[in-house]
Amino acid sequence: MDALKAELKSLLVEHLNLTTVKPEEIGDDQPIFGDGLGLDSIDALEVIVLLQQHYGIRLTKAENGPKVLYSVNTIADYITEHRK
Amino acid sequence: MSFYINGIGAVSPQKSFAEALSSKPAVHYGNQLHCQEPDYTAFIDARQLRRLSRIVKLSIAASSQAVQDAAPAIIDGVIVGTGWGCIEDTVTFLEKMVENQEEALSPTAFIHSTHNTIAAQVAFQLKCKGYNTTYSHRSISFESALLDAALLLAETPAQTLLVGGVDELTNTSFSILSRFDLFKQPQELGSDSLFSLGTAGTVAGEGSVFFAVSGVRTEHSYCQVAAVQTLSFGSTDDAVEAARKMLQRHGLPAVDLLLLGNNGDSKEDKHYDSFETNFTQQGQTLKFKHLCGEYPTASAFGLGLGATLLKQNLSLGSVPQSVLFYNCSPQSHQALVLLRAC
Repeated sequence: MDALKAELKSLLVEHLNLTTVKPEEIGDDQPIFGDGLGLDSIDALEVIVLLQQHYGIRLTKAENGPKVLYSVNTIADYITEHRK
Repeated sequence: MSFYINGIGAVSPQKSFAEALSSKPAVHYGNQLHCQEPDYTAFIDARQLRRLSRIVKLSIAASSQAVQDAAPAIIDGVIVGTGWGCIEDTVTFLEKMVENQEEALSPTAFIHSTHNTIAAQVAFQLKCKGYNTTYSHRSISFESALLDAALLLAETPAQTLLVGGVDELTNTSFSILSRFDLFKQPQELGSDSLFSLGTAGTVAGEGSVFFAVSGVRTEHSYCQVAAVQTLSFGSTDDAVEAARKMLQRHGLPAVDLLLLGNNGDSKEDKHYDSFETNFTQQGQTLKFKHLCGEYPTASAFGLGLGATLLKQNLSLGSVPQSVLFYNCSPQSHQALVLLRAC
């Protein structure tokens, strides 16, 4: 699980071009949108694409988005639960 | 249909127009002239920088400089001419379409893959909710934007519009265009020797030049744009005739300076030589594409050079009062712009 979280943080930094943030600086429970990492709605789409590309996971229900994409912990839990 | 250039901003292969007009302009080696890019954090919030593509950053920096230079109360509209658009992100988006079999495509690359992203992002940055249009018309993209500005200013002179000419040079665009033998072979000679080689092909370039224009002259005014005209699919003789009529309409028996878009390609420069022959008795001639390279909107760089020359009196021996600008893309489009000191 720790390896997955570390990989997710690296992917977030790389895909979202977070030039001022290092992967290790992102907290497991830190909110990644709004006041946390400061990501926005376009970033949310990028994260959904990232999940599909790297883990083959589709976020089918839009209403689950805020809960699943809340933090690295919640994304990692969702991947673990849905990865084939 | 005349109007005034009240501010200029540029990101180009030259540090500034003053440097380009000096006795020691920047010399580039090889067959590609890339921009000397500024520290973008001076123009764009660091948090926004991460998502902006290079061409948008070039454009925001140049447009911000033009606004600072003109210091208008408000920007009423943004008009951009671009031949290639946001080509870097277009290529990224197309590559992802192939790699991902048309699934899971990046929204950021898609947003930035459209030509009108440039004008939109410039307006967004400047908080301008007015007129916003993009022209993509090969080598007269910038002149088309300039004509639109002229029409708008004829209707409402007391407004300030931002007009820009922007194109970026990428590895992919250079590679594709090289297949058409458009460029000279990379050699050790510098760009300053472009016009003395006498060989086929030119050097690739890029740049972003923005003008704050208005129907009202201000203390910041560089010059008056007295006339703009484009000709499609005409001959060089047609351009000569159009230029003569343009000068007649403005009561000018001659111009002080001829500003020509020669690009060092022996196959294309003969058109400029033919044009020049008809006006050589009138004044001096200045060429500019050794300073910025060849690209669809290189004429914006040329116009910036001419306007700076008229304002700063950085003359070539005498003070020019009028500049006739001529740029052409053989077999397709030609453009004429008449600048006058004000």
